[in-house]
Amino acid sequence: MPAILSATQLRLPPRLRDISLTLRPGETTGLLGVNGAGKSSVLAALAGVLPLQAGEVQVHGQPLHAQPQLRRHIGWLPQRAPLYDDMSVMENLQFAAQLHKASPKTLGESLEQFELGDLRRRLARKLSGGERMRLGLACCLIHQPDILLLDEPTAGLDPLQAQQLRQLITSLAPQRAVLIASHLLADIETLCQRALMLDRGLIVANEPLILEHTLMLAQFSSPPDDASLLRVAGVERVHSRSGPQLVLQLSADAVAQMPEKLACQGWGLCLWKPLENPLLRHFQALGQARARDGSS
Amino acid sequence: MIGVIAWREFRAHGHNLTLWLLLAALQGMLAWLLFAQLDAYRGISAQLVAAQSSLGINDLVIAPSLNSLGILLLLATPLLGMHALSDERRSGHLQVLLSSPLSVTQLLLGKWLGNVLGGLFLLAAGLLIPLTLASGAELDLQRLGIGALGLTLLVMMSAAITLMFSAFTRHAQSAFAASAGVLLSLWLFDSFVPVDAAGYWLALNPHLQQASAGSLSSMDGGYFLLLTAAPLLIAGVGLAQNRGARHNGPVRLPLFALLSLACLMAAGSLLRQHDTPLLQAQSAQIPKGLRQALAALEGPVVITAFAPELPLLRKRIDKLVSPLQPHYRQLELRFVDPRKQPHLARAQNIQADGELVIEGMNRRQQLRNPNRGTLQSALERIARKGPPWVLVLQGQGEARIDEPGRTGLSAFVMALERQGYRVLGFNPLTSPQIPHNAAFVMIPGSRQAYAASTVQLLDAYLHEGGRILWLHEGENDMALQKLSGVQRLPGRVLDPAGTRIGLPSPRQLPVTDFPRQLLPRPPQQHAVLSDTVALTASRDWDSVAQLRTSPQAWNETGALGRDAQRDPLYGERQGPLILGQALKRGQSRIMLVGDSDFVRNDQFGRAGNRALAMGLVNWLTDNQLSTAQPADDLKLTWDQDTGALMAAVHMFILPLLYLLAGLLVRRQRLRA
Repeated sequence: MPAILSATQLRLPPRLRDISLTLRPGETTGLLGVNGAGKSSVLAALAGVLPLQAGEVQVHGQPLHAQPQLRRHIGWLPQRAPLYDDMSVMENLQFAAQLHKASPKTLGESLEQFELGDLRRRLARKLSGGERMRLGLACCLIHQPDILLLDEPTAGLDPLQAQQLRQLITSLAPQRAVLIASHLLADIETLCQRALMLDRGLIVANEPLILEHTLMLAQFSSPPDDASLLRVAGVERVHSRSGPQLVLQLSADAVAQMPEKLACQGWGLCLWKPLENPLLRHFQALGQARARDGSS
Repeated sequence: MIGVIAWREFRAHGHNLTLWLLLAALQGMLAWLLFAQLDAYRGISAQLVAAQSSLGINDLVIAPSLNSLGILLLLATPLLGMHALSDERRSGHLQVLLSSPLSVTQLLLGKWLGNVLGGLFLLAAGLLIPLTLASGAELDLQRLGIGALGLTLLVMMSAAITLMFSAFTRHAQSAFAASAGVLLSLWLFDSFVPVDAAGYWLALNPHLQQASAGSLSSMDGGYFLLLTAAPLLIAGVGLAQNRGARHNGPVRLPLFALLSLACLMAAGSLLRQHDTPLLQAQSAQIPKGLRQALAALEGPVVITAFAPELPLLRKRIDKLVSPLQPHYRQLELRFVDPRKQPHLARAQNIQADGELVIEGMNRRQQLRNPNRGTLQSALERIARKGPPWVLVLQGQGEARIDEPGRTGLSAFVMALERQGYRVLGFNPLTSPQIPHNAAFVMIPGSRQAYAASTVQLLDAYLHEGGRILWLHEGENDMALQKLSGVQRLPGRVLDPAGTRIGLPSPRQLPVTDFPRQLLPRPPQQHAVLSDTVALTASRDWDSVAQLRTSPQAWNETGALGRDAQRDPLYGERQGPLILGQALKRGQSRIMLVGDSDFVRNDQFGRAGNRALAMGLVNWLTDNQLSTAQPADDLKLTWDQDTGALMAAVHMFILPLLYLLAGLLVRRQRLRA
């Protein structure tokens, strides 16, 4: 599928160093990095509000910098959802709609979609964290953009609010290209199909995401071959093999019953435990490397 | 889109208590300043009226108040606008706004317009106070309008400068400090920079004062527009760079700011060289009287100002004199520093800094307290030709020159003295002859027949080239006939034409047709004579010009009621009748008018009476001095109680109402 947004060689040292990425419709991409890695800068650069030294952002194949009208395709929600505290929910939405020349009809739909109908007259300063984030999302989606850039969307929310917001974002994702910057693995795991790892302004990893709980470490007394394993319903891939130990990738709904199924095969299952997420390993490795750099 | 941003900005001001607090404070302070000024004016108004001052409420109360309003707005506008972009930047809104399809120009103009609207809201409230005065005085609305336009330009400029600083900082307080600092520096600039310095045009105060005085030139307009456009441009370039314009692009902000300043200076000096008036209230032009005084001058006239090198003092004097120079090219202004040349100051008996010595036409005048009024009088005294003595016949039933009441002549005398005449009472019964060096003799409506000796004295005076201003009341016909060859028609003149232009009775006669020989610059208003006698043409003298009634007038010999009709059988003649005539025989002159009431205190200031009287004096003495009317706005009809009520309303009640309105709006918003 062609990219809606592509960034090539974005450079603004030390915040960004030759960042290149593409976003495709229907794909949610996570931008993972420790604090200070440059996640927000990447999002700001993609939104066209960062003075770059080099590089170019293209939207639908055209340079964003040269054509301000392309900004209509982008919805950007910075960290802590900047809202006008002296305006009510409805006024904030109206202002966002006027700013993007969105149809006034979308106001009612937004209020309903983001469950803000009962809060329409409330001042933004009186909203809870979750409500603010919902209103922020509503404002940045009021003009129906096909690119959504979200910066730490669940930061500061309680687990329940975070869960609700994740569901909301999931419901928005299918029609759009979404980029979510976060340092929370849970957000990335739940929402994204692909993850970019960012470190000191550089993308150090770009890989499809595998859910943590679908990777299992198994050890057999008589290890079967790959073909035998793949015939077991629920086994999607033999990820790696090291002597008697194998890493299996399972379908999410088969994880619970799999030990029982494998035991019935007579291969002598003697070890079964979930494998540590490679993303987390990568993340931890980055943290340790930073700590070493800091101490040296 | 600009409107959306501007409305959001303006609404934010409305929801914020700051605007209402500013409104209340500005209202209270301005009211205090204006009513203090008004109180001082009330203290001197009697003298101003008596002196027929050319400066009235518009000059002495309204113009200073507009200046004060300008200074208050200079501080209030930055207080309103300091949050405009700094808060947006701090809260992260600015990036959201910049990520939208909104252009930087739209964002800036919207923000600027929102703050200008806020400032204009304050300005409108401020203008309410001087407008209230319209119920008690003759307000010059044209002049007030030009002043308001100047203040609008000031608000636009202050809002632009504040927005510029607000665009480059996250802290509203920094934006306020910087913009208020720049604005106050511009305001104080003329205190430190000499008038002839290249950068003097940057001073705000002269432009503001010019507008407050009801005059706006291309220089003033250009000044405000340049200082509005340049900050907006700099802020625009700064924001565009925030949006993603390359650092290594063609425009670097500091360089651009420097370039803008250089362009600003160049444009300013161009404007200075090609300054042309754009708007000028009639009253802001050089007063008619002053122009007439200049027109009467002959030969070089030098004004020497004894002022040390203090820019403000010298500027004040320059501002007073330099506008007169285009009207009289031979007028020269020289400055002498009494500290550097004390011998010159001693020689001229200078006692204080800022005194003027005016020399010309072999005369000298010294002004201790120079202003337009005193300067006009001094120039008139310089320009007046002939001897200064005016002898007013007294002692045989004439109106008295020292009588300040309704029927006295003190106002006329004061007007003559302002032109340098020395007016003296003269009793012909006790004096053997009329002095030859009298400018003229005035007969102010004697109520009894003159003694034969008086008639002989006057006859002798006329034979020797004397000049008489004869205001005849009809009780001295023999003397009139003998001396001037003029007879009085019986009865008094009635003219229905007067009632058609609003005069209460046909006994009051409008004089609308002023002969050019008597009044080369006729007044705009008619003069009014009352209970006037009609005269025949002179048999013995040359008639130079005549004052006449309308054709509907006649000399009524019966009762002077509204239902009176002309009856030819009684010698009642149909108009136009002669009400006055200028007679000449050799060097001798008689200016004869069939009425003396029009120069009495209660009538002298009425409509064109003063101009007529002074015009007749000019003809008699061969002068061309000012006949102009004093300012129309001298009178304040508010009594003490009304003034106190108005002061209470503007100083306390309105500010309180504004505060309450602000609290109410805020409370309503907080409830949401």
